[in-house]
Amino acid sequence: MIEIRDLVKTYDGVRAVDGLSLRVAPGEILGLVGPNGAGKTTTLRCLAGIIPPTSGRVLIAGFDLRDHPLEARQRLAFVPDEPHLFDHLTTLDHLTLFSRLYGVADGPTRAEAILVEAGLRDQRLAFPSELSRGMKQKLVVACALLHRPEALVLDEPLTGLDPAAMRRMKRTVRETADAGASVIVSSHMLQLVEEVCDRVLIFSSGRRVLEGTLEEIRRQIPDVEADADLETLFLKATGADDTP
Amino acid sequence: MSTLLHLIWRSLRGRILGWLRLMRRPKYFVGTLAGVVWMSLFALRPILGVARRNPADARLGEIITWLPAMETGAALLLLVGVSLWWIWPFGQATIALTETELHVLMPAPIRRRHIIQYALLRSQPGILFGCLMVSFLSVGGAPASVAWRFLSMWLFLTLWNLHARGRGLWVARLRELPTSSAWRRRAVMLAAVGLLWAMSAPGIASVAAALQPLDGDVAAHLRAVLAPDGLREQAPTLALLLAPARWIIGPFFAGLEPSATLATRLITLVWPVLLLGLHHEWVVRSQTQFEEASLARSRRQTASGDAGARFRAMKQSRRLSAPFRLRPTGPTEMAIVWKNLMRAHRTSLRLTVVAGAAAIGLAATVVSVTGLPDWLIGIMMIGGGVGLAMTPLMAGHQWRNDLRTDLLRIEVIRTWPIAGWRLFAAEVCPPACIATLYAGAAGGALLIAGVAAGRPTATGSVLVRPELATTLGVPYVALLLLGLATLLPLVAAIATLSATLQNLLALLWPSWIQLGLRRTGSAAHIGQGLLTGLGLAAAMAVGLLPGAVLVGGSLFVQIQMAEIPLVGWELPVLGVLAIMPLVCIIGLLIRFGGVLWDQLDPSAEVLGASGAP
Repeated sequence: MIEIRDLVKTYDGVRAVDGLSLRVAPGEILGLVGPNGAGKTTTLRCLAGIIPPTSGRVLIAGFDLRDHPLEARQRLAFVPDEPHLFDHLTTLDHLTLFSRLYGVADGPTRAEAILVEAGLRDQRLAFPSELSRGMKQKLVVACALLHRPEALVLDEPLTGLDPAAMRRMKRTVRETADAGASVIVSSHMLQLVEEVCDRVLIFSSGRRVLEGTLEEIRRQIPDVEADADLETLFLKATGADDTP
Repeated sequence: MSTLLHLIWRSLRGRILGWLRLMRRPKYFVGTLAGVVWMSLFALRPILGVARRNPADARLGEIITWLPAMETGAALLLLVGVSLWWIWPFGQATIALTETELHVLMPAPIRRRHIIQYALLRSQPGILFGCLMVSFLSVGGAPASVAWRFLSMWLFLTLWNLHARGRGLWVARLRELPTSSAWRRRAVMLAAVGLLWAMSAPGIASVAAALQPLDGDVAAHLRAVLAPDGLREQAPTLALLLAPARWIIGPFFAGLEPSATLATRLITLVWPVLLLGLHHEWVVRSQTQFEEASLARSRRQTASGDAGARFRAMKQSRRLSAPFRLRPTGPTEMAIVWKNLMRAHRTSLRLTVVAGAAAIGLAATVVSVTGLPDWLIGIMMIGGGVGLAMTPLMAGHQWRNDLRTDLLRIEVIRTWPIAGWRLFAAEVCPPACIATLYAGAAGGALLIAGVAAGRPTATGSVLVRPELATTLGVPYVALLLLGLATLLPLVAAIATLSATLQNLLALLWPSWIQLGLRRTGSAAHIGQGLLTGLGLAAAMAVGLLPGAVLVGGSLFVQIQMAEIPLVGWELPVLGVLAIMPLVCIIGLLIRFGGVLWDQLDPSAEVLGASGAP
């Protein structure tokens, strides 16, 4: 379970996130969409404990990130928008490192299995500088999933992936949720969100604009066609629709 | 050109505003203030009268008598250097532009000469900063002399920079020309340089011949021969050929000459300024295609800053090795130690220690039989002693495989399930560990030298008097080993303290510390170095003085009160006792580091998200 209560993050007097609350149940995938500068990355960073919120609470699997940070982090995996890897560690080293960090008892066997699953077996001894952007992204996701997180947060997970890898990534996200994890996916790729996510939260200027399933969102926006896609709904909801 | 000037101005303004924004935080303001005060003290030495009391001024008087000879030597060096440079066949059009600038400026409707001028202007901050630093930090002179030194150095370096660009463009132009034309130009250049050398050689030979029969005051004769009048008399052609080079360096030497009036000094500027103008026109009017070379250069620079390049060259078999085997379960911090040690080296720690100890032991055994020459013993003692003392002090400065590098991956490490102080301790450990290993090697050299010096046949310096071993009831070699065992915990503690302080600074002033492997030398960074040095000195004083009192107290109780004599085997125990207060201080600092880590908001200072969601 991922829960955010009245999250506020202020930078130099500017409210990047303004009183956001949300809840993602186990097995559920929430899509977080919003225009550039809406505060999505800031929200996800607060959620992952990278930056402290100005106020509000973040709970991961019932553990408050402020009061029980270790318990919360142990159950969380965060995939940032840029694949941050250690340039002196090989693919296998990364998985070894994450096994120890999260105390994955079957780390070596699981790492081998994940390498095969991610299509990185041939790159097990490659350094990040020898990997393509897509491969790096796969490695970051592999590291994130190694400890079977109860909460998974992905920021733009499909950037740099080829169509086959995109399909595999979507399947992985779905499988992780089906295994009982709460998942948040932030992306500008609205088709991905529409396809993978159970619910969508449209976010603008640090505030929630709309939230619900696609059907629920359609009902909340007046004068919208019954089969309108997420792109249309997003543009209407954020006031960015400039079609005549 | 106004657009480009605007671009330069906006970049500069952005930097200044960013710096001012940082100064709004008191912690950055104090650090910068410390750096500025320190540099100002240097800059204002002449006004404060420090320079006049400096004994270096007495030496300056002696140096002045050498100025004409030094000017001739420098001119000859310049002539030979530049002529050799021109016959060197390699080079490229190095108009320094970044990849972004190339991609933005090249397609834009901007005149080519303006782009070159823009690139030349961009190299000026580096030259100006270098001149400023050297002018201020070099010893001696009134404020006017410092200003003149700055001006003359700037003139020379700018001229040199323009000449390098021009020569690079000339070589690149040869590649664009048809082969026959290029070879013709090369031949003309070779002939010109050959002619220059042919004309200079008799003069150089004549000066050398004049110096050969010397048997009295060599220095005075050398001064006389190399002085302009002497040279004109001895080798008039050489004196004539050296004249242009002498004019180029003239302003610098005019500044050193105390009797030179302002008018004399200003006259020396005429030729360099004229050359500067000519060089500028030569470079900006060049039609050589520099774009490809500039692009290649900027990509090379990016690649050199890319640490990944070093690892890409690693053999496959090597990639499987590690400092130690990391099991999937156990203390989390060991994972961070393992990771950071690997940044420095993948060699097994156990193998390093065992092989190093074996090598030192073997060498000590061999020298105990064969001995070593006294000069080598002396060198090993000095080198080993300096290494043992300095390596731990410099640990935090020398090795940066800690939080300073990991802060660049904060989006990864911040999510790890580990308590702040334990993460901080793990980050501090690798540089301290590496420094201790190096210090251990230096100690090994000291041990080998001590073994050689302790041989009955040795005549040179002695590390430990053999009588001391007898007094302490242990064999001589055992005493040396015990001494090393006593020092190593102290070395490890100081290395840890040094690394701890550097990492604390990284958490206190993340925008100030150069994250990653890069270092710069701005006022703020000098201030940072000053604060680290002060912190290290204070922490050592606070930590080691109680340690010394503890050791003294325990020895007093043992020897004076209990009347139990000191034996050599106690030394390592006393060493551990001596570092206990220091270890407590390190522990407290690590706890403080953990608090800082837990409270760190990296949004503005590391992730650069100030004001922007």
